[in-house]
Amino acid sequence: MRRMSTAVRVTVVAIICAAFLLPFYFLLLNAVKPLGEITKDTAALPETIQFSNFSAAWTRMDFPQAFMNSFTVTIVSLMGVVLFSSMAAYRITRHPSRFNALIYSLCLAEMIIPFQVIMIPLVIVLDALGLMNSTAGLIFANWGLGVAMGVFMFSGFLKSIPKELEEAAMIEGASQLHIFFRIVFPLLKSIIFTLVILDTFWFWNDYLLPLIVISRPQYRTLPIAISTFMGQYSLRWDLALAALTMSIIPAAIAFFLLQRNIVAGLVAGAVKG
Amino acid sequence: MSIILLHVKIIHLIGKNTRFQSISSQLYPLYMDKDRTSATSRFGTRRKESLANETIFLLPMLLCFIPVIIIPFFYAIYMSFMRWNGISSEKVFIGFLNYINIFTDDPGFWQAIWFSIRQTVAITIISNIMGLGFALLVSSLPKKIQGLPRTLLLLPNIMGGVIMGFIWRFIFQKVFLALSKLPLLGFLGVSWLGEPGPAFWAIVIVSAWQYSGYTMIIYIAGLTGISSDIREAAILDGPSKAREFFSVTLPLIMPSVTICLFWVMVKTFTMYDLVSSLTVGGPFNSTTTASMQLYEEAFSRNNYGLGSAKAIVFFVFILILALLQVRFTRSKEVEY
Repeated sequence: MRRMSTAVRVTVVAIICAAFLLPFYFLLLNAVKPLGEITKDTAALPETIQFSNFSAAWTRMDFPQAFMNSFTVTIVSLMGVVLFSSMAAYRITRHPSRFNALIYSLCLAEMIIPFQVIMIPLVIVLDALGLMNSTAGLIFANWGLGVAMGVFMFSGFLKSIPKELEEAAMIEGASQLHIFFRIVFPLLKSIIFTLVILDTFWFWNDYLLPLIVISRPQYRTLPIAISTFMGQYSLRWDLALAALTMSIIPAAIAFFLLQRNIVAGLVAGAVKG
Repeated sequence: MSIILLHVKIIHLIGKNTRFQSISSQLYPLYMDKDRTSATSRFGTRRKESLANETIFLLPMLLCFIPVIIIPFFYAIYMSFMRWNGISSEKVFIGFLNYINIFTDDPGFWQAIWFSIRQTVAITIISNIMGLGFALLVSSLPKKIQGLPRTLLLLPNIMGGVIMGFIWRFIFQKVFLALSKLPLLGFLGVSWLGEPGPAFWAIVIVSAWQYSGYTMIIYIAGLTGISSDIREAAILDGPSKAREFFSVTLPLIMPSVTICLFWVMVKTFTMYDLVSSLTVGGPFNSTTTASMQLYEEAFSRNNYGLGSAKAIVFFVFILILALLQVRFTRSKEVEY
């Protein structure tokens, strides 16, 4: 009886998973078909398999350029957010002056401000700084948008780290910077990982910010490039599906390689955030 | 007296080491007090170094935080009292006129807000029930095979909303049409994105598909956090499955429930990318979200002032959500 019910549950879960993956199945199934076959029957197996859809989409969408832009923006944004917010959190937790407490409360307050509220003036500020329409502007905005949550998460973690090691180093006359980078920063590994997981998906998939900051084709990130491409080729499902497939492949590979860590990171991030 | 001098000397010798100085001033507050004259000069360098460190550690963060968050936030409030097209130098102060216009003569905005509220209610309920159901199912499987379904169900969540929207546009427009020719699946043949009713549910379906994997892993984390002692003690009396769920499991995973409810609510209420690629707000603007309305007002119609006022009204809705979350978190969670 017991074994029976386990078998039933396994079957139910298998059916749910299969249903969840159906959109991906139809995507891949049709991405290798010629346009005529897609128009005839999207559910049928392909009669001819052609990969030219992919090469055509690759060049027409300028996939390598968009991929590199997304990659650069994600990596540099992550580095800045981790570095700036961990440094600030260290100072705030170890020297709780009135000013630092104010910064900390501003960070807490920031987390309830939706991006849409600051979106319009942000364009004006970036324009005044000469950062509109550039990868640098996108990265700078990501830093500003990301540091508050970083400070919050690092502060919580730093409070749990005993200060003895740092104090010993101080007595030996080490500078604050030295102490931070040599002693404290390595201890932050686990919380850095959580933050990186959360922010990677955010920066990589972000749409609204690049949409308002970037208008030149050469700076487009993947989500922007794909939506421009879809606008131009809305009737060419053969090319569109190939482009969509290529766009989900990097995230899918990263996800399957790091699945265990990603689940752990998302859970930790949810509990703290 | 000589002891005092000795300690003062130590403090002098330690010189720049601020941390030790503060330790010694804690240990010997009296001696420090008596040695006020020499302590002030020390205090001077200490302050200087303190200021240097404060700058080194906080400046990078503040240099991005202030221009990207603080200034735009207050600038948005300021602009909400202006009439400005974003380009010309002519900014006119018009007081509360933007707000008055929003509340008296802007059916488009309120239609979008109302749409976002209905979406939020539907998606929050559905994706939480699905996530909790999946979590209960998956965590009841043998430990060894839990990993795979967890990964597969989470997969849609890590993909961006724009790409998912386009993929589902293909599914709704082409695949469902093909499938509706099969027996029993005729209902799939409705014009999903061409009529307001089905379009609403199309967005709900895709969002539930995307979010329930995330809520599932949070619920699984909550379920594994319940200690087996409590569970065993509670089911000793042999309650029914339903009773066990509602009186034991659910109260104990209330923290996860709060997280998932509000995560989905905020995500849905501020949604932009999925809708912009799936329905583009149509048909007949019936699926325009609040977020899309703000974007259009500011960047398509170039009304920066009115757009900012709308953003502030939008913010008030988010504030209400946040306050609700705080109340909810405080009242519903059980200590265990």
